Amino acid sequence: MTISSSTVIDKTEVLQDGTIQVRQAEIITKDGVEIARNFHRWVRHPGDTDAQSDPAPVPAIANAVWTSDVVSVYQAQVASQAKV
Amino acid sequence: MATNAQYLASLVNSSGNINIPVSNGGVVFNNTNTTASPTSTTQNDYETGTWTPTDQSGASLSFTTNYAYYTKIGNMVYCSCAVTYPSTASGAQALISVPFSVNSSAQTYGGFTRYTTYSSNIQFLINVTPASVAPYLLSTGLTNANLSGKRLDFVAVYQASF
Repeated sequence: MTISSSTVIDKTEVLQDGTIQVRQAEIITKDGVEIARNFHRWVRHPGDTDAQSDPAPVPAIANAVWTSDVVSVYQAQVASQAKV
Repeated sequence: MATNAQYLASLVNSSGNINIPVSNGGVVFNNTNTTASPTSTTQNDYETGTWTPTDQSGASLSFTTNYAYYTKIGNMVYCSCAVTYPSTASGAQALISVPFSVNSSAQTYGGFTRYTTYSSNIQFLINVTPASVAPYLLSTGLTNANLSGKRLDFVAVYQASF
């Protein structure tokens, strides 16, 4: 009997404002048959440089979606909302 | 043509789970006259897992995270986490990311502190952009500097945007 584990980005969701929601799945298999799947999520907002360190395909999505216009519009939205 | 019973049986996989074969499909409860889908009577999502809370204040802070869990049922997100702020003098409004985007027309949700090393109990307002929680003392937002070195364990509930 062989139990093994692997991780994969199994879902990415690009929102209208360019935000990327990332879901990583840890897949547990027994003799090659999946027996469990655990999820971990994080969010990357337009312009977030940490996205470049994420597993594929997140950097490619970020590079494609986050044009300078998308980033500037998003940052303007943030500036208009986040107040003390 | 398959009978209803045959079609329902085809949705059950070898593990005994019922799979919804169409993206965003779900269970439509028979409590309205509408048949459009998805509607406010469609249960179309369930997911549970962990997430990484990140600083959304613009100060690029790195939190120490003890745990962060979420459960999403339909469009309702229930999340809890324990984070510790680094030492910082940043005067920006503190903002901590949440696992799903926030419904912009449903901002009347929030959260509460389960445990904190801050000097008062903190409540959490849900922020739309960036999708995050904002720690507040009544009507006053807390800055990163207010929370420097402090631990926050909180629970938040909100509507996701999808």
